[in-house]
Amino acid sequence: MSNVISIVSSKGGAGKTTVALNLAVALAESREPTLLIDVDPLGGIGFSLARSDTEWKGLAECLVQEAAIGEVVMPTKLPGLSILPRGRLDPLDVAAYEQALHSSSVLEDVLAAVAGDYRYIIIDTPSGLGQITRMALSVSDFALLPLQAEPMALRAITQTLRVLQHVREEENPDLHLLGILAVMVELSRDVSFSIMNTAWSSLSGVLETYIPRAEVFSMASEKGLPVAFLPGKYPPEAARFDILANEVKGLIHSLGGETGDDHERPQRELV
Amino acid sequence: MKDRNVNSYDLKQAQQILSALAPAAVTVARKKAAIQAQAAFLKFPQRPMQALSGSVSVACPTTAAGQAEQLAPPETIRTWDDCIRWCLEATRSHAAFVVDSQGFIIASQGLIPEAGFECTGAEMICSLEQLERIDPEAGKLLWIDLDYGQRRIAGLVTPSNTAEYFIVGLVSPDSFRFFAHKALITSKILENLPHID
Repeated sequence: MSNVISIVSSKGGAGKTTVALNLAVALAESREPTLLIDVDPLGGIGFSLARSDTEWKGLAECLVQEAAIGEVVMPTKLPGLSILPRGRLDPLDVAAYEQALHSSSVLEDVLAAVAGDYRYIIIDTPSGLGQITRMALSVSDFALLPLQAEPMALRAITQTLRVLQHVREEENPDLHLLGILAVMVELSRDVSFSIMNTAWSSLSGVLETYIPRAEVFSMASEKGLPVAFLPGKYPPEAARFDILANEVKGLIHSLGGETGDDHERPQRELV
Repeated sequence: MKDRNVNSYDLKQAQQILSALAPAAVTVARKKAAIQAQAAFLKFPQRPMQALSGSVSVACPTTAAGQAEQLAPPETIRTWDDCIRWCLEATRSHAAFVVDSQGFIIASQGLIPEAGFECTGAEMICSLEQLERIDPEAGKLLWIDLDYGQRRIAGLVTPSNTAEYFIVGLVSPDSFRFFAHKALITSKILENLPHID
């Protein structure tokens, strides 16, 4: 069975897409079959990787029955990683897309269809706590909350937690909070340091791994690549995502998720 | 006054929810956190989205039967009594009143709060000048909306080139109707202002 993880934040620009993309890459790099689903009407994943907004078919085509799920799940050049893009959605149809996704069972159907193929399914959600985010949470096993190390983001974390709690109590009792992931951290800046200090001391569930603010993310975005795929020396930020992937796997294991760690392994020979 | 030397993050509620979400948390703790969180928020009416969309326009809200509720403003408003009667009905307020620029309540209808309400007009007038200082470049204050724990008082301040101006106040208006009709009330009163006696 898959572990479905929604990346959720009420605040825009909090790094959800960056986290979703680079975490999916790190999981796939660790040989875990991973699917990255973009439910954000803005199509952040597409913007991060594709040349244009209309390059890839995806969820939108499934919604209007122009394509079957199998046609729109896109294998990548990284073995083990596939992407289900948002699709060629006209920005003028965003409201209709949200309504259709919310009122149909397409997302559930997608997950049911691919559940046996992937160990991890990462869902990149839109900013805010609207019906798409609620929908994603209602079909997820876990939620990961990126917390931008900025004052507004810290103040807004309660909103996200409240929705998460509501969905868990009313719609999806199997939903677990994986943790709060601090991103865009600059401990050399007083404000950033203060935020992290407050978060660490006041909130439980803040992950040990955090993602620093770094120029390398802009460079990767400019080239349409995950950070681990940039040429040259392996960026420390990519290594952060490797550590994050391990922490996520450990947490999922401790929360009863299927990580494959309990599987019997054959004896191997080293020399 | 706020102490700016300490940070302003109130994360108690966030931590309560986090504790409730923890796998080991008992059900009682979860419920308690949910109730406490709920109490702090405005209870948003669970209406169909089509009806809610009307709350940001001047369109009339719909009744439970789905019929458009007619808010027919009088052709012309001649007296302050006519004016507040219409406002009272349109917004389903507990009371409506008019304060002149001296702070005197010159007209009132509805369930006027008993204790100390005669001072409310004067206090509103005194506060106007200070409220405008909050953002001096934003122009004259047009609406005051005071949301207290027990009731809400909203008031339209009529603009004036002379020293004379008025506040048309509403006590505990129905939020939905208030926002639905706010623009219409504003335009109708301002349009009729020269004729109101």
